Amino acid sequence: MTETKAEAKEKKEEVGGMKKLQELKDELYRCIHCRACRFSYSGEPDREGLGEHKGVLYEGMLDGCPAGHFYGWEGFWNAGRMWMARAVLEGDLDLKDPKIRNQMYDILFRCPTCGNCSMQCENNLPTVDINEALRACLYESGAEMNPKHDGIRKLIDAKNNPYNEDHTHRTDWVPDKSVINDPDATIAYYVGCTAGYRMQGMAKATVELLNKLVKKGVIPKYTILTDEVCCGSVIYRTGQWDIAKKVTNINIKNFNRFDTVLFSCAGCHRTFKIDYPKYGDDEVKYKAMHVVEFLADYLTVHCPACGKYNPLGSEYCENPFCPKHAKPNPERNLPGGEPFPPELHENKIKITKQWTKGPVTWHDPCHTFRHFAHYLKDEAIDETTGEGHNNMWKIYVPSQFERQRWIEMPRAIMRAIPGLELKEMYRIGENSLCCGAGGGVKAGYPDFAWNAANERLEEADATGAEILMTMCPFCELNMGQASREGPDGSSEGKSAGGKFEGKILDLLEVLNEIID
Amino acid sequence: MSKVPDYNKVDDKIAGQLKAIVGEDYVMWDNKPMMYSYMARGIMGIRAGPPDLVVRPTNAKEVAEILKVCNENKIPVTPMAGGLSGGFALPLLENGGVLLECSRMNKIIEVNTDARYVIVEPGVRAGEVWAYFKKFYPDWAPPIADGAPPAATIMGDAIERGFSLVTSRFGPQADLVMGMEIVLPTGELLRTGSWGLGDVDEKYQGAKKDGHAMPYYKYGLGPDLHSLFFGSQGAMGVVTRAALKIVPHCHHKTVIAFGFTNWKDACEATLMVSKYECGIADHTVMVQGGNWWLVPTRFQKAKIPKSHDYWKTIGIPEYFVNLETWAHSQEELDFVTNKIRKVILEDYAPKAEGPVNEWRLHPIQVASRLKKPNKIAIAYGQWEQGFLFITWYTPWKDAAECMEIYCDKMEEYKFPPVMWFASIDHCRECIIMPIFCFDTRKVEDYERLEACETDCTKIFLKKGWVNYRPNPTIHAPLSYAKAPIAYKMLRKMKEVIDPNMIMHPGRLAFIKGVEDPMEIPQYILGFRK
Repeated sequence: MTETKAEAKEKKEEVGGMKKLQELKDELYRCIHCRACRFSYSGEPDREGLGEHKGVLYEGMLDGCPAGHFYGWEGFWNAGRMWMARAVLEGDLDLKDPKIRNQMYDILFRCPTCGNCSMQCENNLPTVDINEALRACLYESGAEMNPKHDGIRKLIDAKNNPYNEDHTHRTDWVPDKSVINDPDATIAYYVGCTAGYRMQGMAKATVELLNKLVKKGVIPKYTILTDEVCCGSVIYRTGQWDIAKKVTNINIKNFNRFDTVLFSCAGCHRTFKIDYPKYGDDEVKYKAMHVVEFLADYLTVHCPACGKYNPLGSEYCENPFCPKHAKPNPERNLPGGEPFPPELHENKIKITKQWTKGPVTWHDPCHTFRHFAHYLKDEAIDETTGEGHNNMWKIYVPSQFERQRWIEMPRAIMRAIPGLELKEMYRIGENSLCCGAGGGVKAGYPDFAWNAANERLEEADATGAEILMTMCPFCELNMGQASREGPDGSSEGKSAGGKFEGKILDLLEVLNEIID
Repeated sequence: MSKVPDYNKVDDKIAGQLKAIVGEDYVMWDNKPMMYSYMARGIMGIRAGPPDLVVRPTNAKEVAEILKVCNENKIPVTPMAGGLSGGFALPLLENGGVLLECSRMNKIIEVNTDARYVIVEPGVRAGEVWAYFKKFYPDWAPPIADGAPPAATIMGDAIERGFSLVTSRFGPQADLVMGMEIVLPTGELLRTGSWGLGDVDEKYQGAKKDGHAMPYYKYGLGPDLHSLFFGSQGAMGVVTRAALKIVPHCHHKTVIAFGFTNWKDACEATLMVSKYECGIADHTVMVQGGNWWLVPTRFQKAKIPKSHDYWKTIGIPEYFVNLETWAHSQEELDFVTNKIRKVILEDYAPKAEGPVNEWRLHPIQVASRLKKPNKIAIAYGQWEQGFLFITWYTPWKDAAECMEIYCDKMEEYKFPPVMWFASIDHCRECIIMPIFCFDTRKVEDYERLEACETDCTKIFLKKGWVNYRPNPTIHAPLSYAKAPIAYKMLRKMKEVIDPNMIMHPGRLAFIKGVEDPMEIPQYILGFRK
């Protein structure tokens, strides 16, 4: 029987931490405590890497959990958290006991919820969801909050942003005021708090870039809303769902009239794309896209059949397994598919400026795809298995294409920049090492966030690249600070040496510089 | 469950003493959530409880000091490194005591390509040592477990007498141990075999430079002691270093597979190959197989076809055997694989009870089987919510009978009959491992599983088959009841080595003050409090 909208709404309102944890019980109990979730490349022991650099062997599987690696105790690794969740459900850990809930808070919140664990899990545990549900249980049970997390919630509730800034000045930085609150626009750029208040260079670059595309007639006009409020990412991630739901409903109300909502922040994008449909009262109607995802369609030939990003001018898809547009391969007697239709070559931007800033390495933000890769995988299993379906070999294929698309997207764009040499770090894509900023960690546990960022910077250093590029302002902020400062904000970090000496840039800022 | 009178609880004073040994940062005490984070009920053991305190030493000296404190205060100690034995790496009594968590001891101490051994500490994981060898010693392979996840430790597998990637050629993993450094519960440091010889000139110590001879000869100084610590699951002492044989990592490898319609043909055909020990079976480093149920149970039960009628359409035989062969040249590899094909398809097949066919594997399937270590075993958690491996040894000739009985019993108790088996030492014996896929949310499922295993154990013991990783409620008491002298002598040894029986009490049916193994189960934790 189809659920009515009223029933669905009622169900959403009921969802609290414990109810959510109960709902996740089927998945949670699949954990056997095998500890594969600790690593990057837990399934690729033969993977060849960068060799040894400053005492770290970048070969085969490698620690991939920033929290476990930093703190060491089992509760800080994902599997330990899963078994604490079981103990809560079984009554062995009673959250009514203040000592237990406070101790648990102190363990559980020291995790950037990067989701590397969920990518490694052969039993498909939605580890981030379980972790967040458990955090919500702790918040709702009255655990003593980290003052920063508590403060952030209160600020978002009172001022619509976590930085204690005046909401009425949220769009003051916008250079061209004509893009603000344009009633005729079908595209909105959701700026977010970090770009809007702390990383305005990146926000300005995004606006300039979008303006150029509008001026060229490549995209229709867009707008920025003065009414946008914090997306709630940090309070979703820290289990403070009451206020998170409040901002969710405000944003859905404000943005639902647009066809497409664009994001320059990976965290905001994840929240609008995954959390809002789950927790918002109203049905989500917009299409959420990261600006990089949006731009990729104009900088490459994006195959409609398999999602592969091909260089401009490609006649066929480079993916040999593409179901529709694969290139014929006479040597292997493979007939291939159809050429791309002509309209796929229209409305493109060709970058002509030469890259002169030296070799680049790329940091994949956790929120750009790892956070939703799990859902893609689960959906694919649902669609392709069961008694009515009889091809087990197809189980992972759709999700793999989609996951691959997100790994490929920024790389395809970088390939479109003439002269840009990409030197990959060892841990990339779904095995990427988190910068350590997410999940409330940067605010609540800055020493840990600093350490995680430095692990990542060391890895960037191992590549020999001169530029570290990413597409998330929060990653950029955390790694940038770690490269300049000590954990307490002093200049000790830089003088400690051994870290990445190059520049940290956002891809959107780079594109703005390079596209006329 | 009865109270065990002869052990004490950890208190602030003892926690303080342990902190003085390893430092404040490496003792976790009075933190119930963290204790539960170590829990597991599955993989090898389903009965387990949380410890009272976790301590994380970094060397044998610290381990010795910790054991002395625990011994003086009669505190139970459970050693753990990778934790991949699941419930077997956790306390069994309500008084959980100290979990001695050895993951910080994670160094590869020495690789010797002449005497051909590697010395590792307990926390060195299979995936890590594999990557290390691949990078620095590509012509040599460390004998990591096959099938165990990459987070399993190479030393844990060895001292558990586990199954390695070359077991079919070299015997159980324990046979590859050349020496061990062991801290006894009373704090003494014992080295076994030639490694036990101290005061040796530096030149003859190997790269480890610990004052002792190299571990080039496993026996050495009179009757050997090391076997006492194999398969003890931490009940005898704490192994802090182990020297393991390394084997040539041949770069020409493949896997060939054969399909059968019954267990008997699968076993008999393989035995015929394995008797060609020189030149053929010696190249066949791993022989393993099972039934078609091994495939679907790696997916969610509700989402997958459950009849072999479907699985055979995509090429999965009802019963199958994989033979992994390694050789120094393609010519050598072809010679071996062609001979195997000839033996199975031409010599054995005509007298088989059912059709015998080669299962022609896709190159991706071959690559997947050659990948070491791998995560293939983990996904059995998906069928329902968790799983348990149980392992029995039989003579190879009895393996088919054992698996038939097991599968019937599993179905009788409403479990999918998921069965894996492998050759040990050229099919001299067989390791048989049912995979119980069950719902770990339900106490009744645990009870059903134990009832099934109790039935099987009673049948198997009458046939002389041995459970090599006995659990404390079924296998150990029932087995020891049939081997009273062996149990009596083991217990005497235990009392000599571990007078207060602090090491992993309950494991192997050893508890201070409880002499009858049949009484042990009443002291063991249940599935829930």
